[in-house]
Amino acid sequence: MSAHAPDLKKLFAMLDGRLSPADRLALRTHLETCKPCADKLAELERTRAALRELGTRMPAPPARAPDAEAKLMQAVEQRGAPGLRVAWWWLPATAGATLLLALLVLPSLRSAPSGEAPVTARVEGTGPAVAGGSVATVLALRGQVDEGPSLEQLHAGHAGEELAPSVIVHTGTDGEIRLALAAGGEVTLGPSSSLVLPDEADGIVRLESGTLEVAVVPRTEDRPPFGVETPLARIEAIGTKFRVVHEDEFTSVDVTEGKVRFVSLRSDEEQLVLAGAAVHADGEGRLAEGPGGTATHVAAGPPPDETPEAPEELPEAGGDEPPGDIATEPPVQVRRANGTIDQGKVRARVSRQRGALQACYSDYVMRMSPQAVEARVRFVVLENGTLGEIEPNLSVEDQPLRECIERVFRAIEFPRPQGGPARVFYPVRFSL
Amino acid sequence: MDIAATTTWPGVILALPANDDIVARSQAGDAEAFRELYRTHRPHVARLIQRILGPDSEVEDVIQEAFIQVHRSLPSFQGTSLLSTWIHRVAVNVALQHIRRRKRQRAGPVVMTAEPPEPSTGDVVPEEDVLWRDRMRKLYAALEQVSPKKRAVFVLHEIEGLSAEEIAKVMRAPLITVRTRLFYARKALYAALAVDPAFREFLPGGDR
Ligand SMILES: [Zn+2]
Repeated sequence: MSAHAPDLKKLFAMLDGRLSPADRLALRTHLETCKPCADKLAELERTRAALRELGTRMPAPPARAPDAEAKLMQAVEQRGAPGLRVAWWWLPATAGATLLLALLVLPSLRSAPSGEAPVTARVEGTGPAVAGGSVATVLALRGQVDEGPSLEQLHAGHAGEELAPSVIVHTGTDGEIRLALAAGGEVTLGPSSSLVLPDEADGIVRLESGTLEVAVVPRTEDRPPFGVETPLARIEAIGTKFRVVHEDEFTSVDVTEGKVRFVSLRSDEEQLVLAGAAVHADGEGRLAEGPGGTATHVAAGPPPDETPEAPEELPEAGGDEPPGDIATEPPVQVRRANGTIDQGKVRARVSRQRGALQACYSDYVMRMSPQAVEARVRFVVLENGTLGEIEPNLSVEDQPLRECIERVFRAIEFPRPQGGPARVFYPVRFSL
Repeated sequence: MDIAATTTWPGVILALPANDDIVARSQAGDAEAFRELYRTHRPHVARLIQRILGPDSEVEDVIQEAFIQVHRSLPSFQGTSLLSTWIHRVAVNVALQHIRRRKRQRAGPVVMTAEPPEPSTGDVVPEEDVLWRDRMRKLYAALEQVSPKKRAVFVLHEIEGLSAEEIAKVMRAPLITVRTRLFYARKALYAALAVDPAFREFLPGGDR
């Protein structure tokens, strides 16, 4: 028998009694002839036994200090009624709303190489009592923040954490933070920017300064449109992907997909901005075509999306750092194609398979490495609702993962598109 | 907990707790109710926090902090999990927050468990207590090397004996994520501990 590295995953499953009887028997048989594996299992068993014993020998937790209760009650009474000042970082988020969008887009930052993650954003918790839990979840952070006073600083370890209503997020000169909004959609706050989160899930976000990338799905009529406000303008999304920049005396928006309504708060002048166009408002409330300001403002954001006309020209796979500024959720963007399709339904049906997709990723992680993976899945839904061609383009080279993702998508019954086959782009991001 | 009523949140149904007097009274700002809640839950919270931080840590402050957080977040408790699970979740989060803060405050990387194994002299048998204290110290030093979330999963599973399912509930994470975190934490920590003489010499059952 050739030497091989013991399969730790299998050995731990054996240790935990999680192997099927058949697998257990197969492993036992293997262990009889394979010394490295047998030795490894013995080592794991010994270590686990030591840990168990250690658990029983842990000293009892400290008894309550005599004045602990009095001190606690005093602290609590000083605060007044529960929830008056809600800290954002530990909110247990019982509001299921955030679950909805956490679906496929898991906290996506790769863990920092050392224990010390760079601080990337500051947060000021100003939220009133929260009845509904958080309004946003941190998806990813990077870069570093300017020094400055703060209540709490965010760093990579905070990916996945929930933010309370009305919290203000500041980024430093090279900081960036991506948030999933509880009401659906994703925003990425660029460097040197400040954003006030909505006071309720459906509320508007307020960009005080800097750059904000927005990716949202259109909302149904019973809900207010997604909105961004700056000191100069209000932008209402009509289903879409766009970028807002606000600097002192101008606010601009440029639209990548869909369209937005752009309203000057100074003049009430308004304009519909379509994909590919940009509009800005100045301090006098005048609206004008073009991004306005200086080019550097726009350069803070990510490069524009790849051309929709050439979906078969996929970006090169490889490189284990997925382009983090891709808007991943809400992921459904119908490409220029003959047919149109109900994006909400597509999203819902894919979301229903998130367990299966997570299983694909989990299998990958166990086989390969715990790195984050981005899958940029493009597919065509035929008129009868079945899948035509599909191209899951991964940020890593891995055939089984590709095939697994493709299988999951193939098994989905999609809504029927109108007016011919519809092309859908659905990026999915996986991480531990 | 009984479910008395439901309310809708965008697209989601939230269950509200029924007849949970202590929660309702605490939420309304009743200090006595909160005191009762504290007395009931402090032992388990203290244990969780101590397990996660380590036996030598200053846990009393963190326990206090956990209950202050519980008090602050009471309005967001909606009874979709058991009160105890929810309080434990707050406690775990506060402990993790404490670890992160501690790590951030330390300048530079922490050097741990880097000493080479000492050659066994064979004639000095350490006192049992000393040996176990040494193992505990080694374990918590090794735990500094993994991320706080992996640390929590590892401690809750290996030391506290919670199942992956129970951990998933407490940490509100998908089971698969808990299992994967556990796997990577174990992979790193078992490897570190296995080469440590304090653990190498451990013989199950033969060492007391
Ligand atoms: Zn083998």
